[in-house]
Amino acid sequence: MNESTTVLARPFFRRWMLGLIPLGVALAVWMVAPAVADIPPFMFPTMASVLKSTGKHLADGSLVFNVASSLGRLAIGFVIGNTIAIPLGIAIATNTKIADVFQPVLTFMQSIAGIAWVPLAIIWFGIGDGAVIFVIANTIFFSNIYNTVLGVRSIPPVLFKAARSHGASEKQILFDLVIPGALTQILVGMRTSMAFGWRALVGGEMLAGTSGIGYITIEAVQWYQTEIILRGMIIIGVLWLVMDRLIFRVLEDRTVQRWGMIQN
Amino acid sequence: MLRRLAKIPRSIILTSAAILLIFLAYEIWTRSLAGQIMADFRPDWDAESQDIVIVMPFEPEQFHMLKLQAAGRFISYENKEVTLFDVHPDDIRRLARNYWVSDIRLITR
Amino acid sequence: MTTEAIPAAAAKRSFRSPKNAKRIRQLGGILAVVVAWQISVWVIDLPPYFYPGPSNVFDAFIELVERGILPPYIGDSVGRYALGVFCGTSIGVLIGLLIGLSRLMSAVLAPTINFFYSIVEVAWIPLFVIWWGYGIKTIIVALVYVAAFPVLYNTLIGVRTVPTVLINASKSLGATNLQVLVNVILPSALPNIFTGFRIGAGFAFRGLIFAEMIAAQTGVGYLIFEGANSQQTDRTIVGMITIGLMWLVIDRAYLSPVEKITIERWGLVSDSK
Repeated sequence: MNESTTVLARPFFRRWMLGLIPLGVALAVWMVAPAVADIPPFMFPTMASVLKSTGKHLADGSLVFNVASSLGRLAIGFVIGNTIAIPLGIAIATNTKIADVFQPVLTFMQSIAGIAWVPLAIIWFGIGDGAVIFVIANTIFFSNIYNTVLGVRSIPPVLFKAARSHGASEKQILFDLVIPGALTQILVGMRTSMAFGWRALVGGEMLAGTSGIGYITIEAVQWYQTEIILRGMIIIGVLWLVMDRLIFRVLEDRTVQRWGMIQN
Repeated sequence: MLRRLAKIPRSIILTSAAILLIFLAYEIWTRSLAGQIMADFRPDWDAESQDIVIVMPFEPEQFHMLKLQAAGRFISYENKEVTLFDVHPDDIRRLARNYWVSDIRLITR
Repeated sequence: MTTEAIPAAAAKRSFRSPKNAKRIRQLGGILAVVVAWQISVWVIDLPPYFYPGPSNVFDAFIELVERGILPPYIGDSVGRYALGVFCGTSIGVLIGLLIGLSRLMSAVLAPTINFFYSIVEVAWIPLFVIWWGYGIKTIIVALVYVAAFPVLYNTLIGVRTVPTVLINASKSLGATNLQVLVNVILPSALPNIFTGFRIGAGFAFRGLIFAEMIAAQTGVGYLIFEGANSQQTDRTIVGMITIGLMWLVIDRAYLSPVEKITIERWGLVSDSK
């Protein structure tokens, strides 16, 4: 117990170094394994082949192009989905009766997984960008309209009465009560919707894409190019970590602190 | 332990029970269907394999073909009747449990 | 007391009670969508394979049931999902406890676990397909993977945040290691385990649909994919509605109650990872 307490008490930097041990071990095993065990390269690639193919695709720009096109599609889908979802969600939620009418439909649509739309999207838009962007926008839209409605409905009705009785205009109610009141829920929802949107992007590209990180990863299966598959997985993991940690967690922490809606 | 079990939310218990009931009812139903088909059709249980004709109320789709081909060698399809060769008796029984099978007849080559 | 009870009882019996009015509005919403959909099909007048209407979808549903396709597909999907989530959750809890009990191991392994948690299951499927081919094995492994990591990660956090005071106190009162684990650590980690379970079960359902599209010959995900491939779009929509309903049952009957217990017994639990 004593020994382990000191481990935790060490400065942040050293604890962070501890986390790198498995990475080092994995890299070492990966380097030595092909010499010791007889793993065919089509089952698991050697480190050299991954580095070589990554270098090649970095040099000819195809890797950067594919990652950029994936992120571009995600951004377009995210913007389209949210621009429709948030105003519509607020409009629906401010009226109790209208909210009741839409609620079961929205619940149902939200529960149909984003990826389930891919085959239909292929029929409507053909294989390519259109289908993938449609699926992402669709996923983000239904996830976020649901969360926007929830967020607005979670504002205590007393506050509306209080604001009105003090002579607040509808515009003031919207900007000073509804939007700030629902913001935390909307932002939390955005993060969740991005998790689903990210899956929809990778999955959509695998089923319906003509370019992008998901597309090149599934294409490699045909030729048993495990070095491309493995590199694709690492990129997909790192991209998600960066997006989630650097954008959404920071955004969420700021707003949660600012509006102080959640107490921990 | 029982006290802990009582704390499991009712919706979980009820839904699980409902799913189990539906599953059991389906099993019993398909088994009784198989029994009806098998009643007036007695294959040679000791034989290695038999040749059969399966009567269906509609044209078989890929789904049905996969199941039929898993049971035996597909010979022909004509007029909602599929001819299968070399079907093991156990597989005949299994096929009879599908409710889209109206009848099974034994044939000789 | 009585003056309050009577109107409440009367309201319960009355058709125009607020609760009934809400139900009617909700039903109206669903009906309105179906009617609007059918009208739009008449107005837009596209070939049914491109834009099928509710009537086509209903016919397709009846056909799929009559031909014995839908029930076994639902059975296959439910079976795979249950097996995958059960195994994944068990593995996640077990490994999470094992690692969490050691401070050193937690510090060493947590970032790695976090990284694997970040590689979405969708991205693993190509590699799984190469390892195990198109088939049930690939699907189950993908489901176990996607269910296990949120549970593992949250269990680890749960065990690590058990106040050391509690453990020391029970030890000084003579509790054995096993007793500490069962009576102190497990109960305090339970809300985190539940949170991980909910997240994992949600992603696993999406993972199931995707895995069935890529690597299966049966199942509701396959139905959606194959329907579109063979231009039987009405079947695709039957499949989509089926998975929507399946998810609603899973969410309402299994996940929401678990969430409710967590909140009721342990207070609000942060959902984020």
